[in-house]
Amino acid sequence: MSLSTIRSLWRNLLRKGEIERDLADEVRSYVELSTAQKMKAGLSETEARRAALVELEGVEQVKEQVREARAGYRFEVLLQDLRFAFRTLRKAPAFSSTVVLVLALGIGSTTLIFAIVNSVLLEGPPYPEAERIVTLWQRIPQEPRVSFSPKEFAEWQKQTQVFETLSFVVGTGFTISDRGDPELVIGRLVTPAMFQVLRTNPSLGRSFTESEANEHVVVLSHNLWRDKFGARTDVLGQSVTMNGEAYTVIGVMPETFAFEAPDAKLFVPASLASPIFAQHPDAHFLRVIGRLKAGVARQQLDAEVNLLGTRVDDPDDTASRRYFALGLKELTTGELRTPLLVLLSAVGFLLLIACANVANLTLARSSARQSEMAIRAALGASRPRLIAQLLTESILLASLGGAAGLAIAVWGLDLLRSFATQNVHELLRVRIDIPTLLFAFTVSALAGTLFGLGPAFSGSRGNFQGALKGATRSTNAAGRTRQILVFAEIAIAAVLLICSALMMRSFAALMGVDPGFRPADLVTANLVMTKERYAAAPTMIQFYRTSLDNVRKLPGVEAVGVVTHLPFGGNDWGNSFDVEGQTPPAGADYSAQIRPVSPGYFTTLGIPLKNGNDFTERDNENAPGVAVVNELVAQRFWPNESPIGKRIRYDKEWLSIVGVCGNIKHAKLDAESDMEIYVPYPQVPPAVMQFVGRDLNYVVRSSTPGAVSSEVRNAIRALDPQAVVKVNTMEALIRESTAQPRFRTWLIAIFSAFALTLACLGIYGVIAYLVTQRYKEIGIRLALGATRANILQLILGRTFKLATAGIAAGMVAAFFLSRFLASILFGIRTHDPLTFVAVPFALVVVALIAGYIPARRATRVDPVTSLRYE
Amino acid sequence: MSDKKSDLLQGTLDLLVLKALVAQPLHGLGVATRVNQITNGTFHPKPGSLFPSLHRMEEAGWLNAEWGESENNRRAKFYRLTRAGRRQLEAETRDWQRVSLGIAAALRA
Repeated sequence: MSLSTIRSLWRNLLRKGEIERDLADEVRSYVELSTAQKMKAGLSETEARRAALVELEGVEQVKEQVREARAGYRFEVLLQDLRFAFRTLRKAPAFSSTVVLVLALGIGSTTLIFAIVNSVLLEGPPYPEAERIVTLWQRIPQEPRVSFSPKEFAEWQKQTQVFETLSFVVGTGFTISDRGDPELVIGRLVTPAMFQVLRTNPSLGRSFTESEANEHVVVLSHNLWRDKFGARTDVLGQSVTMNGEAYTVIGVMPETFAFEAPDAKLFVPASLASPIFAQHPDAHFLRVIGRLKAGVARQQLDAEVNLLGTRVDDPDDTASRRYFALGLKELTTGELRTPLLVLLSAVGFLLLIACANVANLTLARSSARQSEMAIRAALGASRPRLIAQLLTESILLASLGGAAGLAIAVWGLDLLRSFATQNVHELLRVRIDIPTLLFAFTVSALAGTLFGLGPAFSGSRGNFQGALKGATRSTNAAGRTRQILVFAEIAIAAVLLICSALMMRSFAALMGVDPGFRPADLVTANLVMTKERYAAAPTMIQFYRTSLDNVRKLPGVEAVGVVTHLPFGGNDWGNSFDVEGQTPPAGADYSAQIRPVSPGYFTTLGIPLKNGNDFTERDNENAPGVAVVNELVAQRFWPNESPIGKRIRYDKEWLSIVGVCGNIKHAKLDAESDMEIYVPYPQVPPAVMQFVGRDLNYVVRSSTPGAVSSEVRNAIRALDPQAVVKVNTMEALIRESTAQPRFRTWLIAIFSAFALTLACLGIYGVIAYLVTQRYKEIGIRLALGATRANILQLILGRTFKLATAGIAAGMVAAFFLSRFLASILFGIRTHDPLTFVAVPFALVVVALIAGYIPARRATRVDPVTSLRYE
Repeated sequence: MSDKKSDLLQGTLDLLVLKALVAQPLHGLGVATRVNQITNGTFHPKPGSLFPSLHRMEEAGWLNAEWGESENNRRAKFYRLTRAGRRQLEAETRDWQRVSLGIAAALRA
């Protein structure tokens, strides 16, 4: 671009008026000179002038050609188009605001879901080269995912060839007692190598060195530092009392660090030499995570896993263990993939419907603008110019829709986050970031082009002569396009509605699952007996007895029981066990859930006792060992006889079965019940009690839950003022366990509602248009004796045909697509007949209602005026 | 009116216009006449293509435009070749010769 061109560009933009006058003068002067020339050749003045003008082929056309050749023309045109588009849209506020609103809903929803999908599925875990971070697990017949034991970890660490660093994590509770009220926080015991695996270092201070593996040092999470330590930079080197012992703070993790879960509030070093691991080399509670060496392929990893799996297994450990590796990303988001993709597809469909709707509106409007287009063409606008101008309007609308959509997405994200519970904590990580903005921008641009292109092309073509004369009849083609668009809208809406109906029924089935006990009116209180204050079994059992007695005596308490692993409380205890007289097949121990409970637990919870008796106070630590098993155990091992009196054992001592209770759901409503063995709390062996007996969960049945919960807390704290007591209700716990399915069902329901509304608007629009098209015809029919009812029938008949065509297509599509929902549907088949019949039926009714309004208007046509209608 | 058989490409028209202005400044109609003359009647550029060409070359700095008086005392806008324009003419002439030699060779083969 030369200096001269730049100067001209400047001049063209700023001195427009002057330049136009100059051009007009120049063209005029040309005509004069040409006329003079022709006169000299012998023509008369009028003939000469006429010839000169003919030769020019149109003054305005010539001027337009010059303008097109000027520097900065394109930019000027763009500005002009934008200004004009803005003015035009402002003059049609109903149309513009409807389009912007519809687009905003479509683009906003899509952007929101994309933001979630992006943060959760696409972005990996936020560690350098996170694809090399791998977790190791075992699978046994009873449990799909089991942690490692210290012995296995030690062996593995010695023999691995593919891992550059291997470390483990154990979750545990810490009571912080010297900073305000005593508070129980969940932390992690980690090997110092953990920080190399994640390649993330504290933002303040440092991480552990290998030599500190048994020292009392601690690294805080950002949130704990903020909440408990005042976010002060002088926190390093300070001491904090946890579980009765002094720890030194040596580091604080960055704010975005959320390993393994946001509830990990602090990190304490551990090594295999620590007593907790040395004393229980076969307990499976180590979560193993490691970083692979660079360049290790998946097959190499799998090969080593299979090989070492056979080596670290003890020959006498007959449980058939299969070892496998899971990438960190797979682990954290594996089960979210399908629901999120379903949501993304749903919202994509919604966007398509929105675009179809808007295209329809635009088409309707463009046919009304024929005369305007005709005048512009006459003034010298070429077809590309007209198309460009129409497209600018569409893109302007789409941009406004996109901007409004972004606002909706941001607002929607805030709304979702306020509903997010622990179970959907991934939502906390979601932000509207650059990729999401780019996505919103691209979607807006595509949407604008999509719905603008068709009308732009058809609007710039056409019989301008006729338009100038005043005839505004639209072509058949436009009408047909609109019907096809509505057909598509209805079909897509039908798919969306059928799928969301399936999901809603699935959720209803989930909520309707009988957990095996009565959750209503149940208050839960949780207490952790820390090692410092309850060193061994005797003190623990004593506290258990006294507190149970005290709580039982409280007013409003109808029944109370204690259990160490509360249903829906997030904990369980799986263990292998032996059955007297029945040996398990080689390589597969029997395994069940062991539940230490108090007498009265079954009655409090409402678990029916099918056979035998509950425990009593007499079943204490000095009495013979007893157990109550659930029906699954009874039917499995003693299908034809009573299990009462038979013996089982999970530790050294044989226990006699004294009762059989009903099965319950323990962890999730949609999971199968486990085999459960209940034992009296005081009879848990002292060595085992150290680990599994520290969690006391009181369940209290009361008709006044609110009053009772504070009473219970006070009663417990009266016995131990330092105790941290967390109170909740069973119903709340169960509700939390269904947070994720609830979340996605709600979202899809909202999208379907939008889609249905849009589809109805589409139907209304097209039928109204149809009626205007056939005004004359309707008038003639009425004049010839048709009744209002006949007309109504005629119009509704058209509506019916249009709707059923779309709904049928949607049903077929849904039939094929619903299989993708299989993994997230519970209690309902992907081709559930009731849904596939009821939803289309309801849709037809809704469609008929949508078409009813214009149909009724059709019946009110006055035959006389209609005949004059053009 | 241009001959149907010899529709001018924009670049070729530019070349002819530059050449037409070598001798003296001319107004629009004058350029059209001169081009007709020097091409022995083969081309007579229409205003619809001539004016855009003139204006574009003026913006590029190859021509200067000034209002003046025509031979019969009417106001007209005259275009004059600048030094840059002369250089452009030389360059385009060389190009054209190269191209036409190449095409001629192709046609002979």
